[in-house]
Amino acid sequence: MKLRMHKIPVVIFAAAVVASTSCNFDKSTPGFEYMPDMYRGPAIEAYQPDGGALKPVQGSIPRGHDLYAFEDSPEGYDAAQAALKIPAQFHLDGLSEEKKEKVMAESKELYNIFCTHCHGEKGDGQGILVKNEKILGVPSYASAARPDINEGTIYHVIHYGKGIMGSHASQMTQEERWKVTNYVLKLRKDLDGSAAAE
Amino acid sequence: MRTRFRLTLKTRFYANVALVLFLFLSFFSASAEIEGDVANGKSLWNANCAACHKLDRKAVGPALGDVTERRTVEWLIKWIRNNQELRESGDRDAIAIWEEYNRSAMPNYPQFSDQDILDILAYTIDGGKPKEVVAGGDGVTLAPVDGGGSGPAKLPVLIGLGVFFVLLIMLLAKVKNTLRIVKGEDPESVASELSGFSRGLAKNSAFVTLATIIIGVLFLHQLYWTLMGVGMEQNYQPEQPIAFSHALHAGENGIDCNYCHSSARHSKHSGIPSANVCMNCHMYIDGSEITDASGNPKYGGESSPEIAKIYAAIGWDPAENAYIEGHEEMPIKWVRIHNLPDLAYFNHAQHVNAGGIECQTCHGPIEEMEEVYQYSPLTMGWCINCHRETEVQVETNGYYEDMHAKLAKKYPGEKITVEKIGGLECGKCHY
Repeated sequence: MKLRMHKIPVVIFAAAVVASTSCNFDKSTPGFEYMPDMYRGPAIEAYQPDGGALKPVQGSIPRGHDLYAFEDSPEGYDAAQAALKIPAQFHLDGLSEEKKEKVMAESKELYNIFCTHCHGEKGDGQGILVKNEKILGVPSYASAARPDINEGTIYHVIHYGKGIMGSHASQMTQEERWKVTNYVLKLRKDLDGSAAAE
Repeated sequence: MRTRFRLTLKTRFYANVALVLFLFLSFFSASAEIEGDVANGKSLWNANCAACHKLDRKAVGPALGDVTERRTVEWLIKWIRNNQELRESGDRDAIAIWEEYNRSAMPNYPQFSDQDILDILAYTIDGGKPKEVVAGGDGVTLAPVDGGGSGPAKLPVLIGLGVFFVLLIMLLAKVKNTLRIVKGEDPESVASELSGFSRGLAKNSAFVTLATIIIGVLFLHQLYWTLMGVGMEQNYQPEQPIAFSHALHAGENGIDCNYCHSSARHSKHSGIPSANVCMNCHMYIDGSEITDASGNPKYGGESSPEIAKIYAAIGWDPAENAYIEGHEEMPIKWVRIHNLPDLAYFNHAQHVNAGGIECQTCHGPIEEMEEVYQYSPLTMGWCINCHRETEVQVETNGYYEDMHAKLAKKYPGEKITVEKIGGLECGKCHY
């Protein structure tokens, strides 16, 4: 069959159209997959469309966690204030200076992740969300503003939340909560120190 | 700025309150004027009250926008300064409000002077009024989340241009034919003229060769990249159920990635936060404070429709400031963007903790994204390349101390990359 030569420009035009349109990538679809069997395994993965993020069985306790003895109520708060102490394994006393520094550095990092956007880097209640007027009325850790804070109440409030602060128990392990407690106590001491110096 | 407010006479009658006292109180509150400095009241309010009270709706404590209509100034001063003492003195209103809010006591504010409290009360009256002018003011404005960008707008322009050029060609052909007729020649149709032109081109062997090469190269180029794109999901940007902006949360408000994606430090997955994590802030921030350009509430004092989706999922009643009892929780169906094939293993905790890699190294400028897209190709070549180039942070990681000493002996003077500690072994990621 003889190719009709005068059709060639038409072919070129058609090819150019195809080439220019097929470059478009539809961002809302992930695109083609080669051998989906190897990509989508039968094992259950997190966030699969069916059966994705599931809750743990009721009553299960994460490894390395203890049951928390105090209730989420004003009475529980008072009880934690009176009776809840930092467990021996998270206590800073008795650690070498070097080790203490390392633990405090980790604690600071955790504090900066979980607390600083409201409570501020110094614990003065002037975090970025407060400055942006998104969340208001975050108290300072200083004794003058909050005389009732101690290690028990700090942990209790991280665990259950208080006022407009929500519970952070789902985001932090118990060890991390105690580390942050230590760091908050340090900030409180620093704030009281600078208030006394003035 | 000093503002004067007159209090409306509105006292509640209690049968057991003596008539004399009633008359005295109503006389007093009727004659009371709240004379306060609104600006000072606002700053005191923001620092001390706003954590638990809002003006227009119930929060941890009651709404206070109309509190001066409900209570007398004397009562408020006593309550704010020491509510415990007031309760213990047997004041019925005080005990009733304490019981209503589950006996959670409000802190005492003995440091406030009478004037401080008047300032705050003046603010509760003034703060609820609609603002008059705030052109681009300090109100919160959310940038609209627009998925498409300029794409759809370009198409009509292109079509318009196409139509214009076709019309232009037809017009010129008409002009040419008119000129021909003037010269006494036969007019020619556009089609026959075009075919004459293409016949000429087809006989030109240089043109035919060039065209063939161009078409061939274009075709192969397109074929290559189409095939290379199979299984690669870079730039994938699905529409999410909630128009959540990382630019606002992680960028403007500087919330650490790990705050919401807290499992990245502990687990293989960097989990999508559950709705209770959203609620840590959105219990308080319901979007009703967002203002439009003129400074008035954008959603008429209601929650923003996007934040309301969280409330619907978890069962939160913003008007009551409480979870709805017996609500059946629904998951928010976020669409997962970063998918690795089942045949490859990747662990977030390992990269974040031991590796000390920033989230942005793989996920790109998340803190600038209104809508998240897949920044990296997530191909094997991409993984391997990073493992070849990235130096292991041995100094700050005691885990590698022993290994580092051995490696330093084995590769004297060389960088210790992930490759050198076995980061290219097949079994690291495929098993």
